[in-house]
Amino acid sequence: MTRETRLAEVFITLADTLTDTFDATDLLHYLADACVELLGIDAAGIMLSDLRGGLKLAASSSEKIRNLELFELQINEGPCLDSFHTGQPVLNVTIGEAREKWPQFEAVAAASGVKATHALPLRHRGNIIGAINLCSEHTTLLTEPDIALGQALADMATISLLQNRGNTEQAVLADQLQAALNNRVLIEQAKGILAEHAKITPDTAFDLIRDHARTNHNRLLHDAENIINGTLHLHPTTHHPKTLNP
Amino acid sequence: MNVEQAAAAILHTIHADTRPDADPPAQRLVNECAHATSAAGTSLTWSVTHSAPLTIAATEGTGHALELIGFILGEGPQISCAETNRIVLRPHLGDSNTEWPGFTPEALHVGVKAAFAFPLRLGAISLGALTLYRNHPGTLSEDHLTTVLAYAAAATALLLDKSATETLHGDTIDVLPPILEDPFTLQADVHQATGMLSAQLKTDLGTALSLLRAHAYSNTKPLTSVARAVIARKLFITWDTSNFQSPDGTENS
Repeated sequence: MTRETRLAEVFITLADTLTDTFDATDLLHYLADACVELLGIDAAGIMLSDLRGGLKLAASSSEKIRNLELFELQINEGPCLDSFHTGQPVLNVTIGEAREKWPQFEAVAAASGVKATHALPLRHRGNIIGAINLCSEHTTLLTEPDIALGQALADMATISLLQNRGNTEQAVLADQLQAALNNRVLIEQAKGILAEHAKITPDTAFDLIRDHARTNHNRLLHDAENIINGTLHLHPTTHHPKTLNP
Repeated sequence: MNVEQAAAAILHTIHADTRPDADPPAQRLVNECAHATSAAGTSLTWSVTHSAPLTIAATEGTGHALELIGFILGEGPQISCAETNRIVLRPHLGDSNTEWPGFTPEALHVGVKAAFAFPLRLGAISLGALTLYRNHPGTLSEDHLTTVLAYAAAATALLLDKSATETLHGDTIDVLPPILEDPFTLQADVHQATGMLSAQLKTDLGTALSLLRAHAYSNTKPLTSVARAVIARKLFITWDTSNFQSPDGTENS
């Protein structure tokens, strides 16, 4: 598949959320994965607004960035927060520069192998509804076309996320954002249940759920709910090579 | 102030008055929520799977009346909200009678023109709804909306406490100290450990979370460090080690 064809496919998927088989959680995970694939970065994490000036983690492409983002929220400093508060992109901050801007964030980012970090705002009609964090494990910086593409992906996903009901009322926005954030908690609970049943770590459990959802074209949330209600049982040996206790 | 800070402030306020004749925290929450959002009435409905919704608290007059109607008819914004786990917004209640054919005329009769219900949940743990009624039609202002979101987060913490009280019938602890923060901000570790423990003990997620909290409390450890120990498989919490009996009354170890 050429890059052009792939880009078209990604944009169509981001736009096409008005179906029953795709929801906000899937959309945000898809956006995170698309950024990793298309922008030459190593990890992406998405935070959404709580509508009172706070941010919460909604999706991430890997467990490593999930932990980094959670840490960013805890210490209340970092690229995502800056981008969210200013509504502007934060671009090509190398780990050396990050030390001055966000000393606590930098220490943990550097320890997890991050060499450069970026953040793009999620904007919707004058509202900043969140931000996406992009991390590179190499010092190659994002080019102008990369940045434009990243912002286009973020804008497309934001429009999709909020147009589900064709309504821009603030309370409808709240419903969408809260559902996405609650789904994140539900997925954490499902990871724990699967980790226990399959004797694996929660991180490996997440990979397992995600692989299963992708392979079967299921919604991530749907599979997570079925793990919680006991109707879906996944086994690392048949679906996934990584196990803790082989 | 973000939602968790606002929710924490609300929780501190409603738990602050410990005089014997003071209103219970849930009653203070609905009263203050109605006041802060210029609502004609508010109610807090507890709705756990497989049982009828229960009113935990409602403001005098409108709040009480509509909770009662909802309970009798088995329909209304609070019921729809608890069932779907989504925010229910009906800024013009008089426009349609088809959604709640019994409830809507009764609500209009007592002068209610708009209803808004907010789900109370933590991942797959569904707890109920916080509902607002207004005597005038129209959408919620941004101010009132963000205020309700904070009250809904505080109400979620209250209902988690209530669930914990119902779950834990042990000798050592009957009531856990209340959650004084937005439960949503509990770390991912806590949600994962809740899932693991529920699978280990073959119990529901709400009960598992109560047991985690009880273990942390009785061992004076932070909840997150208990959660991490469970995830690392260094700690195995049983009904017995938490000093609690399982819901059927038998001692499991």
